[in-house]
Amino acid sequence: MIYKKNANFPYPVLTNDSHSYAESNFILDVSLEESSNMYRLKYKYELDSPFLENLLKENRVQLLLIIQSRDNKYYRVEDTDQYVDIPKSRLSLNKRTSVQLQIQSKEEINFSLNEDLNDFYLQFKEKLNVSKHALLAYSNVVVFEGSTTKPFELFEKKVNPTLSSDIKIELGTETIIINYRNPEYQFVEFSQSNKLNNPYIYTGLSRALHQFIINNGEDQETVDLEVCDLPSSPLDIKLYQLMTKKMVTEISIDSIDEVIHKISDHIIDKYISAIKGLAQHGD
Amino acid sequence: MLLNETNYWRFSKIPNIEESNFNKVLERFYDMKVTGLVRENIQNSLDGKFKSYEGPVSVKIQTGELETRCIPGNEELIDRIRALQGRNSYTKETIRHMLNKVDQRSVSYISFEDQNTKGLTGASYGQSNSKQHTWGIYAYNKGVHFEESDSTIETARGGSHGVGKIASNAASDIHLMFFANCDQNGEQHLGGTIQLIEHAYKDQYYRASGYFAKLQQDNDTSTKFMPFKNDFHEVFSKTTRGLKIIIPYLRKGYAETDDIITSVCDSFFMSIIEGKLEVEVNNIKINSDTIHDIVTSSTYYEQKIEEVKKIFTPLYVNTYLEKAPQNLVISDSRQNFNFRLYFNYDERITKGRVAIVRTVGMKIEDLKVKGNVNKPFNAVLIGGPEEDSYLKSLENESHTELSSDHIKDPILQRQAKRFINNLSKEISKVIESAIKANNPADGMINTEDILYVVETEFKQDLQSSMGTVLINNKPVVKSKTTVKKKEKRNAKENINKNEKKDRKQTRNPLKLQKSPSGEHDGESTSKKYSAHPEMVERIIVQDKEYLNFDFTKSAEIMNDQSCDIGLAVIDGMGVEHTNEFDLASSYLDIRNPNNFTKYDIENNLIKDVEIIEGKAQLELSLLPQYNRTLKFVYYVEVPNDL
Repeated sequence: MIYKKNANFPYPVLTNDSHSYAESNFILDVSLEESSNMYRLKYKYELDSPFLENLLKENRVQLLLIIQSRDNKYYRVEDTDQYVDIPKSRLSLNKRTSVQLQIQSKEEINFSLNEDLNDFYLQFKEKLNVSKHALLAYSNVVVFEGSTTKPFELFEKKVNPTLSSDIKIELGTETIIINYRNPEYQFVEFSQSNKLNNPYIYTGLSRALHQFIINNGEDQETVDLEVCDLPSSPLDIKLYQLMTKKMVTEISIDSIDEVIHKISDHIIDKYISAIKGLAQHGD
Repeated sequence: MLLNETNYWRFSKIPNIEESNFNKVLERFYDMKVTGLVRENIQNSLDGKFKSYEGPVSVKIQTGELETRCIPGNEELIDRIRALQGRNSYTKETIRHMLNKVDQRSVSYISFEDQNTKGLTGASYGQSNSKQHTWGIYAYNKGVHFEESDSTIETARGGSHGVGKIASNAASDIHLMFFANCDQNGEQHLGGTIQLIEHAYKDQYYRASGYFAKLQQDNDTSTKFMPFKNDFHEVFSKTTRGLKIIIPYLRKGYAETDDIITSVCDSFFMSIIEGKLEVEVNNIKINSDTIHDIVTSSTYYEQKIEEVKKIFTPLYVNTYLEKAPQNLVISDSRQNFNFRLYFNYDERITKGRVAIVRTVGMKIEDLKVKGNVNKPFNAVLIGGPEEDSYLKSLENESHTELSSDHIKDPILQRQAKRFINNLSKEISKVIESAIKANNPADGMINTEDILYVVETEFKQDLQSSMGTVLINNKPVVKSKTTVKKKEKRNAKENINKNEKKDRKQTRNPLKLQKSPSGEHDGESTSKKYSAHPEMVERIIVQDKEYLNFDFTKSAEIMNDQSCDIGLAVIDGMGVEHTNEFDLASSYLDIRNPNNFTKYDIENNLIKDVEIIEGKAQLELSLLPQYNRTLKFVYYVEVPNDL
């Protein structure tokens, strides 16, 4: 099984979130290729704990590649392997597929030589033995989303004369949809029409982020983006990616506007310039 | 043997005066003001980086006041200046300016101190004329730069005209600069130069340049300069390996912290973003974490894009960080050069410029592309080592412009002209196609496209953070959970790192839990928080379990005296089971390992755990039936103050 939710183990485990190992990382990257009847998962990892690297060399621990889709699959991999081949019949990529690399002990491991631990654990290392088949490290998770039709689009627009309001913002599974009752509301005849629509974009983002908090926040008020699970809705994933890219670490009902400011490229500013331009040129 | 004179400053004797002008380079750097000074000194520091060191070169810039009696040999220099005779109006004016300045008791100074750099070598050999002894070259030669023995480093380094150090002289009212060096053996020396004019002094003629050095008689006919051991005033001291430039009698207007900061960002934004350089200006840090805040702060830069007319740094930083590079091949008719172009089209931009940047991260020029000076775009152009060495050959002496004028060989000059023209032509193409894409040709705009611009921006961001693969001809999107690399604990510049850490970890690892009935916080008698596992350390050794809670990042609890602690089991699927674990039947006793205070269990909570300086420690003795394999998450309850 893939470890996503962090917990306190009864012994130090190397993860990228916990500080049990003072400065070691365990970072996985996976790329996907296909041939006629196989998927090939090529993986690369970065492990910078001399203690664990050494255990791997001595063959006292095992690398496990965990692939979770509809069910869990384990692949024992060697240090020198670079890929696993999986028959297409055994792996469906239509649903979300998560991949993680773990290190498991093959025998009881004594930690007295482990200098990579943080100060708290270092004081106990002489006495610490970890049993056989125990989890010693797990990496970040690489996720392949089930095939989406619009992988990178965030907005759609529609004109619908039967609408009961002038404008209606809808949240689709993959996109934010702006519905206009009258095509005129899009300012099509103006040269700056794309910027004049920015208030609608703003409203759309605001609505979608609000829903994001409800979907992903434990208390429906805030989401800590550094520890939350990857969202399950395709639209929420896009928002999650945009926010993490702009180094937003937390979103709450109160900070939606700030977040929009960070993830969008000055949409209000551009709107204002467009209006000023129109006012000056009177067109 | 050392000649028996107590003087600090040496001017070589000459038979007569031939040249009556100040060194021409002084004037050119003087025109570039503080920008030229900052560029030359930081560039020297980047060039002097330790080959094996992966972290950034760090440069500390400080300004302040210095009493003239602390400047070594100050009186000797004033004597020389009083002896100078101007023979044309420009030199007369300069000498008059110097004389106006020499009566001050205290003068302002600026210093540039670098770290993680090699410093100069061979100082103890003095003026040795050996290529390996960079001290000798730096201290006693003009217009020579020492070449790296490794050719890739030689092409990546910044300077090559060898006039850089004169930029420091130019910044001083009396053309005075010092350099303090500490080499790999911890040897500390102080050197210095002053740029005057050829002059008569006590019935003898002397050269224009003075050196801060001792004179050593080698044999009957020749003497050589030897440096002083550095035991001067603390402004001049350099105790860690590297070089420190000190410029006393700093000209007016050179000491403004804000100007120095913008000069650093303007020239070196790329080195800083890439983590190759960090600079501290009077305790304000400029590094990869802070540069974005600096360029987006209206204290330092104009933030209204429409108003950006002269200084384009905020636009460059934005373009470089946000846009994916495209390849640009530019030929000089003999060879192709490959560059990366980061290009941004934004209609609010009124002046279109291309930052030409060398791999060391220094901007050479704000290139104006012929016919596109007022187009709404911004771009950053950078090449590889080969492109670098070519660009270097095209630079003027002050590294601020690409030109073919200074190239003597007519064939090379023609090629250079061709190259510069082609550069403009290729970039023009990119600009034109961006304008076309953003402005459909006919008056009627396609209604389908009203979201196009905004949408493309989001799309670029999404594409850059999520890769896709085509599987069964459908795109499959790849994403990763965020990974933040841990800081190295034994890194040399721990101070900086710690501050970085603080910035990143302001996120509170404690989360307030709502009571299940949904009542408001104010109404219940206690507040319950879940403790993120990163703030808890737990270990089982033999029949004892140890727990460490770190509340120092949680203001709510930090100041409480005590708290109650509960826990929940996490099962193999990551699901939490709140009431499954019975504390009383698992633990024999629980105490504080430091003072042995015992803690009671009540309602499946460990009661009244002491919090000392934001930390709580527990030692728990296990009962035989305790399940040693379980994983937990912890909850913390404190009384509600309201």
